[in-house]
Amino acid sequence: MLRMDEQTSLNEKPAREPTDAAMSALARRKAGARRTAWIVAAIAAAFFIASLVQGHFVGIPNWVPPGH
Amino acid sequence: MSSTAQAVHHEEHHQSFFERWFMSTNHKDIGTLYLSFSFLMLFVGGSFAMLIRAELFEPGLQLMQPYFFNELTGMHGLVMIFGVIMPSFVGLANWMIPMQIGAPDMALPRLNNLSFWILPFAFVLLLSTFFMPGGAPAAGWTMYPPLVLQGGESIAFMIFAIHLMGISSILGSINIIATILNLRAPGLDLLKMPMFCWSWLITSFLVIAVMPVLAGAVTMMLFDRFFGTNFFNAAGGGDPVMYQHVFWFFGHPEVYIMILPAFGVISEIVPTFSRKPLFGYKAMVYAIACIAFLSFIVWSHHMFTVGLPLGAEVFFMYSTMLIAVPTGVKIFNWVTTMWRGSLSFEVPMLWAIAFIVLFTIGGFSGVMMALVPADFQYNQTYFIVAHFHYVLVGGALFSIIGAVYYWLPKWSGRMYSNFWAKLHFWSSVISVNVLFFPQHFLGLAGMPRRIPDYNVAFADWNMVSSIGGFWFGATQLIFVGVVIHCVFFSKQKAAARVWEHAYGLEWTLPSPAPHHSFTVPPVIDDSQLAHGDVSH
Repeated sequence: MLRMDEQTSLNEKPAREPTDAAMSALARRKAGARRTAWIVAAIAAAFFIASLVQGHFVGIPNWVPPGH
Repeated sequence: MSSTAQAVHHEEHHQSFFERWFMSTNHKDIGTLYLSFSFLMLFVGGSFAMLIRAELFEPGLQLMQPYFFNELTGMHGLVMIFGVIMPSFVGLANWMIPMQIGAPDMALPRLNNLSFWILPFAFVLLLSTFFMPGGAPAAGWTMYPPLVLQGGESIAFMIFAIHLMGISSILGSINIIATILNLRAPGLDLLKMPMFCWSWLITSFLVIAVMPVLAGAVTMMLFDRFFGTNFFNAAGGGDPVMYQHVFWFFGHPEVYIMILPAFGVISEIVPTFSRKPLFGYKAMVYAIACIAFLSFIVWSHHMFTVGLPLGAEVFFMYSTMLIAVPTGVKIFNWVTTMWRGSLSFEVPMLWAIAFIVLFTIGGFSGVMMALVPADFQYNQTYFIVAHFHYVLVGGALFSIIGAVYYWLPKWSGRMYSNFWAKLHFWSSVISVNVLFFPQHFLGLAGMPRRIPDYNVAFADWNMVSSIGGFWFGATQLIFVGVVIHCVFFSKQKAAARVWEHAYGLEWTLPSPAPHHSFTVPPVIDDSQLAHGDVSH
């Protein structure tokens, strides 16, 4: 059921403000996130290469250069 | 106020329109961009569907030549999959995941901006192929060689567009994985996360694993077409069936990429309006993981008729049927969550219930075509078209619309018109069945898919289906009206916790959610989480 008892201003801001300590903790976690991102990107690259290797066994041995 | 806090507020108050919408790194703005883009593409892909149904309204060629009809069917599929379903779920992820895990933003905000802005260029490229010599590629969304290689040179643009869409999806998924694994608020363990986050974490790994494989398949096709290789050319020693294997190794997990986030959405909506915790939270998480794993070992069920060895057909038949088990767990748990709940039928709940019913119908026909002998009858008929539209329209699209009705008050701070939203629902749910249910009959009677003309024996049900199609298409204009009215004109403000039994960190924020939320990680109070106590 729609609640109407705690209506809020459309421009309300968050109650708590960030502190420098909290921001540096966040920076550490973001550095961890960047490491995670590189690892996941490497997995994606591995799948791309694997699909081409799969194709290699059929395609490349039969390669006919253009014009031949 | 600390210097960093001042910087945050300074940024919030001094953004021009261009900076906010073109250079944004804010997850909410980028979520809005994704959702707006997919909304636009829904009408582009939908207009292709209207043209297809208009041509099929009666036997004979009425409106277009067969080649253009084939261009439309392929483009309809590509636009709906890569332009509507996937980006809208990424939009929902952008909006909701940081708010649900207590993070200030996505982990890699500039990458997030790049992920989105690749998409419009990709679709301009893709749609521009209609105006090129030889027209758009006309071999369906699966782009099977050698047929697709017989078209014009626009195939190069389509392949580049697919590369761009793939890059966009991969970058988006990297961001989601990094955000969920690294930026959860302290105390928010993985097994306390909302189901929507779980569904997206697992979906992201599917995207990472299979989108590069699609890129590999179309890259080989590009080389076959322009650089003299013979990967898929039998005349040169290649194998066209290998394309199908590589494509469907991507294609089947892709189906789950489009439906697992829907499972997450439904698992959010159903407990809220049943006023009960989700039944079997852990089982739901494991079921999604199980479905994701199985999706990698079933791909050849799309190829039963190409001449696979009997052992392979039996393996893929059984592995496909196995998917019904974890999927059944999910259906059972949603129904059990509702069982003896204090149900109320607000608009999001209506869409969720329709999802459960329609997705189950689509799932049942999926099990039917998992059977090898039966699939020889269904293959390449309208029965297949009916099946995947029940799953993708009645399933994925309905869950997206349900999610918009569920979270729109949180995003906009305003309530939409219940009357028009319910009219949108009832008109959609009736028309979608008028549109797609007769296609089961047509398929069983032998009507092939991807044809602009057909035997007069199929005339009646095609006319019914087309009427349902125009009805469903027109109904979505109500959706446009409801959303625009809610965002720009509604006078009814929404509460922070919009729905009575909605639990989770996003409902602790005011409505509309502030531009910057959780700049300080929230203190986790298990009683405020939907799954704070997972002992049940």
